[in-house]
Amino acid sequence: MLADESRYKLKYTYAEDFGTGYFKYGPITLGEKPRMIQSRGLLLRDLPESIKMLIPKTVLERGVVVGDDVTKYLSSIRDAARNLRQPLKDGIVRKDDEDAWKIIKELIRFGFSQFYPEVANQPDFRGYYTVIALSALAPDYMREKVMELHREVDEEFEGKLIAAVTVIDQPFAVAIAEKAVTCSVIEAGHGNIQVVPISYGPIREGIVALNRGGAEANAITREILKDAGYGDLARDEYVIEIVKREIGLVPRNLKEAIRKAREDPKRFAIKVKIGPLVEIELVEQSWMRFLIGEIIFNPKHEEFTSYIQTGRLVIEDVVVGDMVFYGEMDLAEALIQSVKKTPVEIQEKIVSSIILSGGAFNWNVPPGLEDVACTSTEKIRIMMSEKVPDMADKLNVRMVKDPQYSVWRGAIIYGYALPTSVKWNERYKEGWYTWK
Amino acid sequence: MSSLLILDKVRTLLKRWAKENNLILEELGDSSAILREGDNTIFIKFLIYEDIPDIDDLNRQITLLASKRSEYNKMYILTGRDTVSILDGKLLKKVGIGVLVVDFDNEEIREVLQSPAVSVKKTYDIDISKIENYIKNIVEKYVKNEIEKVYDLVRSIEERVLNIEKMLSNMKSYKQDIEDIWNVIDRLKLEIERLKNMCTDTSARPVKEEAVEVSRREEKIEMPEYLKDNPWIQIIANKSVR
Repeated sequence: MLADESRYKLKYTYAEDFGTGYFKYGPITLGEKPRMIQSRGLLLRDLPESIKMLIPKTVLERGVVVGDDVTKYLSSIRDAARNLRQPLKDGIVRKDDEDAWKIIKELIRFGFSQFYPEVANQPDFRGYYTVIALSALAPDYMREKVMELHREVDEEFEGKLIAAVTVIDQPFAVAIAEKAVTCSVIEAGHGNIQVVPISYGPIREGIVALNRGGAEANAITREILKDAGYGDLARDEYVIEIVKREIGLVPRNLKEAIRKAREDPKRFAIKVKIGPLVEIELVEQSWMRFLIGEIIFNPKHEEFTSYIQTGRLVIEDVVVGDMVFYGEMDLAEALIQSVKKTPVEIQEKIVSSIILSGGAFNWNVPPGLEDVACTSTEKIRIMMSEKVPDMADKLNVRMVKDPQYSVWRGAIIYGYALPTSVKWNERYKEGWYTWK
Repeated sequence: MSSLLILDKVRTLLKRWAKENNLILEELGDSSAILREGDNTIFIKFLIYEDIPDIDDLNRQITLLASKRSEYNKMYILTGRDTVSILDGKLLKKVGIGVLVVDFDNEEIREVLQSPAVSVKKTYDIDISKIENYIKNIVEKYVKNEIEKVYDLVRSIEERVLNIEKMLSNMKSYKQDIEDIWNVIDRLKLEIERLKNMCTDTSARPVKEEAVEVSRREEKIEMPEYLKDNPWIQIIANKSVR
């Protein structure tokens, strides 16, 4: 890369990570951490006329707000349930969901508007080189639409905001941030889990998607609360999130863990303070804590069967586009299936470097329970060792250093390094796309 | 008779005389009259004295009249019988002025010396307001248009000057870009030299790092930690147009 291009990119590379829960964004000059807002927007409709008069005309014309403005206007909206939207479901926006695209565009505009005033007066600024990180499972129409939205936002800034855009898979961005050239990235989000083999770039043929994630851990937590007599609390998603994080455990071996917990429930008993007045306690049902962590890794256990059969839990395969999202396939099996689809000569290298990323892998081991509970990295090692014993010594499983920022950092690195002369290639889905 | 009465009498008799001689009385003043006979204009100067006038004075009057002779086709003096006798007839003939005598007793005017008809200098009735309008029209039609044309020309020249200034300013930035490119070329040349030396030099002496001239406009930009020592940078940078 020419010195001038390098110098320019060190100032004007910009990245966006479109997560289901949070939108992370910002230029390279932010350093280690991006800025973050919730991936949601409030559509400004069903507003009383008296409130409309108080809203700036430009905001009213756009018809949607994001960030702190959501809280500002939320109380004024009549039908908050309909108008407060999270545009991404499992990292994907439906093609015909106009409201969701409106929110996505506003997120983009919101992000850039925080930085553009500062750089607009710089004599060398010719536009940001922007990297958009999307789910590896995002269909082509979504990549195209997001790039198109950037062009529209650029027009609002008189064509001076963006020099070019490119798209990168989130797991690929993770591998870049982790400096892992050949590896397998397992990204576990709220709605799905993506297993993506990487070798000097993502190996798309090897992508395996699982139709479960943090949402399933929430679902089992809800059933546990009901069974433990906290049915009214079980309706509150906020409560479920807190309880899940506090009580959830990943078992080294589910059968063994349940046995030990049933034998000595007090050892695994737990109290969780939800608020100043609300507390829940699990003693007899403390063995259920292991179900919360296990469901991410392997929902095929018989313990889950009763929940599935009674319809209290839904674990099923779905097809989205040409991609099958497996419901019950365990994580080790998914990893093996993914690696099998890569060139044989690199399979050992890929499987021996496994990187875990995403909130659904965020589990702790309380002191004193190390014999039955483990971390996510340990769980993968255990599962893989059982399936592929020869690989046991060669496995290297690690969590990303900064789960919240890895994707954004990886996108920044990608944008910095990708030469501006590499133009967008529709076949390989890489390169800089520009409308200038 | 007093002079007013005499004058009044003269005027009355002159009117009658004009009528009798088919002359049109155009002006009748206190000291003169202008008549018209066909195309000819006739000027009649009243030199009516109560007593016999001074000859010098009379001649002076005649001389004055003579200076205006060419303004009228015919010119007469109208005088009394007493004055006629002392008039210089030769002089009068010479200057072409005729004599009319007013006979108060018989209440008539008689021509005693004919005035020859002479051609007169044409005078024009000049209407100043018409001239003003004419000049205004000329100014409106020609001068204003010309002035506007000049203004347009000045404006277009101004625009061209502005464009030239803009081009000059662009040229300055192009010059700067070219300087930057030369800087990069210089650095690349040095780097190539260094690499050449590395290839040809088989001795164990250390390679001296060449100091590269850094443009005074280069700023120190912090590279984030996660960018440093990352093998992906080289891999991605090696991507080329497929």
